[in-house]
Amino acid sequence: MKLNFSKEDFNKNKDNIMFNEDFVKNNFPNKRKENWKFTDLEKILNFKFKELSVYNKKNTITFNEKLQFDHYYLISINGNISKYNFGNGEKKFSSSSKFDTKDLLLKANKIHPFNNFTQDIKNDTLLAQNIAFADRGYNLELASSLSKPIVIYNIFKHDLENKFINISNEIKLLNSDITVIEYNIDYSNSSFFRSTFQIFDLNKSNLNYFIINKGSSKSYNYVRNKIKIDKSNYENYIFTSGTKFKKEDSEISLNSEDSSAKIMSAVFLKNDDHQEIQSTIRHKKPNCKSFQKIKNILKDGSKGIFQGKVHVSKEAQKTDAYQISKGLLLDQKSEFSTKPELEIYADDVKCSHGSTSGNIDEQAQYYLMSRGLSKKNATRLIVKGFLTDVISEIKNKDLKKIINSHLDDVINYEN
Amino acid sequence: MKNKELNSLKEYKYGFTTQIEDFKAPKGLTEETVRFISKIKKEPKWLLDWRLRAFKRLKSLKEPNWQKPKYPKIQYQDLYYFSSPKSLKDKPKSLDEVDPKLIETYKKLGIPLDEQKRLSGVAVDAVFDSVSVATTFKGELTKKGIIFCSISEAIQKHPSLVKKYLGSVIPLTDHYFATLNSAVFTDGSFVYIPPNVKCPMELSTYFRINASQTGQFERTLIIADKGSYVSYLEGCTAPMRDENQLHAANVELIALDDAEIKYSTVQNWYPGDEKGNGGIYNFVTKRGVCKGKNSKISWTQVETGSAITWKYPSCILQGDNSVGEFYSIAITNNHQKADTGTKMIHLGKNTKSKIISKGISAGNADNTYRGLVDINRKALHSRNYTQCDSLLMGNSCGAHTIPYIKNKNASSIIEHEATTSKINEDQLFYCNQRGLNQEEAVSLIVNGFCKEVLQQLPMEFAVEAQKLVSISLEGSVG
Repeated sequence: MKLNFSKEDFNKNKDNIMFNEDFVKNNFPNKRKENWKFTDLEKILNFKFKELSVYNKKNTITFNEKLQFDHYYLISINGNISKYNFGNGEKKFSSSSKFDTKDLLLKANKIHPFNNFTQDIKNDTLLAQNIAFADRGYNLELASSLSKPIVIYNIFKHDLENKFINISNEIKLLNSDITVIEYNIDYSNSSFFRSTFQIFDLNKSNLNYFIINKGSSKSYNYVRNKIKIDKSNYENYIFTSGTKFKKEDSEISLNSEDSSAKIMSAVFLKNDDHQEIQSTIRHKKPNCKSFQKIKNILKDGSKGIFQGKVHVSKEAQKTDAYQISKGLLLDQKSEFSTKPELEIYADDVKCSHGSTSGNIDEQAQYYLMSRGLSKKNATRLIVKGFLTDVISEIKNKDLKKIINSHLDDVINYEN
Repeated sequence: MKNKELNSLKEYKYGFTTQIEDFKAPKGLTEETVRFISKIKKEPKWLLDWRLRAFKRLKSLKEPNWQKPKYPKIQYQDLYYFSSPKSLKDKPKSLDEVDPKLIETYKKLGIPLDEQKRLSGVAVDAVFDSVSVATTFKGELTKKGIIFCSISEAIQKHPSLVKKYLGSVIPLTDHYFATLNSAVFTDGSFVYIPPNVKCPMELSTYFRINASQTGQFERTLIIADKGSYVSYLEGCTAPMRDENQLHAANVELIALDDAEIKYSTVQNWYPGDEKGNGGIYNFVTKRGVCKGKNSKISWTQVETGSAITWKYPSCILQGDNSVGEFYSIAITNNHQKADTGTKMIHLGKNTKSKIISKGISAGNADNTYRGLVDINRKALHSRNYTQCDSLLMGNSCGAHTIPYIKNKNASSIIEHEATTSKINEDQLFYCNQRGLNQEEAVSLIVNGFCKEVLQQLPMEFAVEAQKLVSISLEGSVG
């Protein structure tokens, strides 16, 4: 695969000399790297793309398919924020404009959020590429709670065939309690590769972060999150059914006592979809909690992967960490692989993980059929039940409804 | 030169020396060493060629380095690859002829070599520094057609069996240590159970590392023919030594149709002193293949010794309906490190595997469970259950769980669970209240924690293992 870019694509205000052009061009991670053991990105990209060109266009559109509940929003086109509404009506956003009240700051990212994590850039092509090319994204800072959730409409449109989009985002919270919904809609009907690097910095805050896909997408997505948690609670809900390829890496540090992190995911994979969730949760201080629940339904030769690591340092006594990953395989071609990892250096802890994979319980199916359901409906019900386990954890009723109907669409359409 | 050495060996008389003199191959890992080992063991040409191929392959391989416990670089050129107690050149006909020093050492280790212990029903093929010393119970086993001898003997007497199966499970081209073993293996055990024979007793081998600077490269080959059954015990103890010693054995198990092999290990080699100096590197490759239908291989291990234990007894479940089991206790104390687990590779239909792993770390130790469960696309209706529990004692140790789980078909079910915790304080309090002191209470609780695995061991071993569990943790509570 060829990667096309010009000198102009390099970010101007950065010390770009550190990037070796040849390196940025060639080395996508492959399965020789432990983190990519189940996902050979090099192979996957080579299989799909003959060439990739760095995308640098910025567009705006009018968007009228907003969700039917009270919320604030950002509209982003191909990763570039174009409009926002924080209660004072919809406004236009340009990279130079600043939205600034006492407690809220929204601006375009000038400095790459990962600039301080460039130690191992030599072994990390995706990071090098993102720092070199990321020309879009937002920087959101909040110092008080918001009464309504923020929806980020992540829209992909226009001709993105064989494009390589690099995005970097940053969310900083202090004393705030918010819900953010990343709502991905792909109208482009093209295959492109999107690489997103995000930092979440939580201080005495609660963040509920949802990722929801509307409809299906032929895109290839890689997301890396760095999440720093200080006296805060972070909850991440992932509902990314329908994307061709997706790998979401989260590195979560629980940096002070009484913090918590939660990752919940329910996805329905089909048509050779390949999705991976990789999490590393570092318990650095005592009395922290982490909870992970990953559920995958797999069909038509799709691949679901979960690599979860819980690291408990010596100091982090009284840690409570739990992790469960479940795969439900609906046909012979699909695969579910997991690597649930525990690395523990403190003794007074409660850490456990579980992982199961299998097919539909025939007895349950039989039970339902003997009560008058067709085989199709019985399967649907079981599949729904399997995923509902995750949905029932959502506290926001509006969101619950939206996610429920999205999943229903996927399930009913398929079975 | 070599002939001269051989002649001089014959002059050895028992009792003249208290120290057993070693007979060593030239130092270093060279083609010459490989040829020397082969020659001194009077091996046929095919085996020499086989060794040389392994040696050639070895040159292009690199030592793996993905494991958790790191170790200082091993100077392969400074090791001796062959040494044997001199007295062995005139093969002893009975136990009385065996070097008394050896017998004494065995007695210390509690190996049932003498008449009294023979009644306990254990046949022993004792390996002392690479060469078999004595084999008992041959008569009874021969009557049933069972072959149980050293691998050197098997190469001479049953070449066709050895040729057919040697390297069939762990090929020459495997990883670094396995290939190293293939090139320079010195001795080991060979077992063949003919069709439809149930081996009437537990076969057992005790290994012991004695001569310093001698890497140990045993090779064990066990073949259970159709419908047969064998239970094999391997136990290890080693005396105090300062230098790190490498132990890279290969164990191959082959179970044909309806056969069952039960392989139990108690390993208590020198773990190094309290500061972490010395101790043995236990880098062993153990692999079994359930070749036939309805076959079964069961690994049980109690790992309490060694500075570094790095091994993954594995099962390749090739035959339909075959079963693989792995029961393990790994105890690490002081500066010991263990990176152990298993691989269950499901290829046949209706194959089942079960993994129970118990890790206990105390002191400054690190204990890692690393395992693979891979259910192949064609392994329909397969089943795996994995449970790995870790117990942490003290605040300087670590416990890690790294399972790789791959399910490639919908009709198979995998279940995996793992927990890590410390000793339950309520349980400790309960025991203390009833008059047990702290150490006794811990020992009792830990034994309870390990019970699921301990009960898989044959009787003789179970008692020993239980004691080992307590001894290994001595001084870790306080």
